[in-house]
Amino acid sequence: MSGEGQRGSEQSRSPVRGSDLPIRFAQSSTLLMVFWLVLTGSFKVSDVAMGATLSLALGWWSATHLWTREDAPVLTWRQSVRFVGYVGYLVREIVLAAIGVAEKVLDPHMPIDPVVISHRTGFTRDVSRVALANSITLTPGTLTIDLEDDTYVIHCLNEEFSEGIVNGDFERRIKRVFEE
Amino acid sequence: MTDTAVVTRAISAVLACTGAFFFLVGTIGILRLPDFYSRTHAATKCDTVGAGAVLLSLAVLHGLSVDTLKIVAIATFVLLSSPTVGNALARAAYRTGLRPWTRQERSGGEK
Repeated sequence: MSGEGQRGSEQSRSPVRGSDLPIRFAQSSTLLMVFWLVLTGSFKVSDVAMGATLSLALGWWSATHLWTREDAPVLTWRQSVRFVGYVGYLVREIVLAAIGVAEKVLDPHMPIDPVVISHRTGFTRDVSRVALANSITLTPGTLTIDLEDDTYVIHCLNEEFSEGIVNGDFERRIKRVFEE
Repeated sequence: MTDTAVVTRAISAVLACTGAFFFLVGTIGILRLPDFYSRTHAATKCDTVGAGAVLLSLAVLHGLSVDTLKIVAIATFVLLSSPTVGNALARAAYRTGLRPWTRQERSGGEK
């Protein structure tokens, strides 16, 4: 497990690529194989053999062509555990905000007052930037419009929905998941 | 029907109705909200909560099996693609210069 963590930090810093190619190949092939097994739900020899062939071919392709950038969206074990916790937090936020938006939409006077805010962040990985942008959009009432040079432009249906973004709560949690 | 089956069906029905309710709210939102950006909110949000609740209801009804994993996979893809599309739409509008509607503008008599 500690080896896994070390590799993760090396991967994001080292500009030299290629030495971790076998690891990338193994990771993407395994992921594809698991996905195949879930979708087919069959353990017949012919089905599994077909899946294995395709997983290896596509895994090789993605390791050599698709994820050739330095920073692949790979998590260490510890980060994966934290990610599950984060999804739980996000679901709770989504449900609470959805009720808030539903109230506003169904209110005859529709008391909305949209604002556009910009928020600066200090992420070091692309995967955390995407995670924050998508978390903001998933949470009802807030929508990521643009992201440039670590500054997010966010449309809020009402100022109260921007709270979790402005006070940096979301950002802190995402940093803990992807960057520690 | 055993007691557990009744409870399972009840939970699943409640979740399905919740999902349908949020889809309805999303649709009403698309019709009622004032501008492109706020409508994008409504359009992407019914996916999040509505589809999430409906899928969860199916998973509960079906019990634990390979199909549950398939449902989880569908939910994952919906939750990944829906905000990405919403962001692409809003970004395109923003970069072409569409100004968001604000309440001040309306009280100023501009709209």
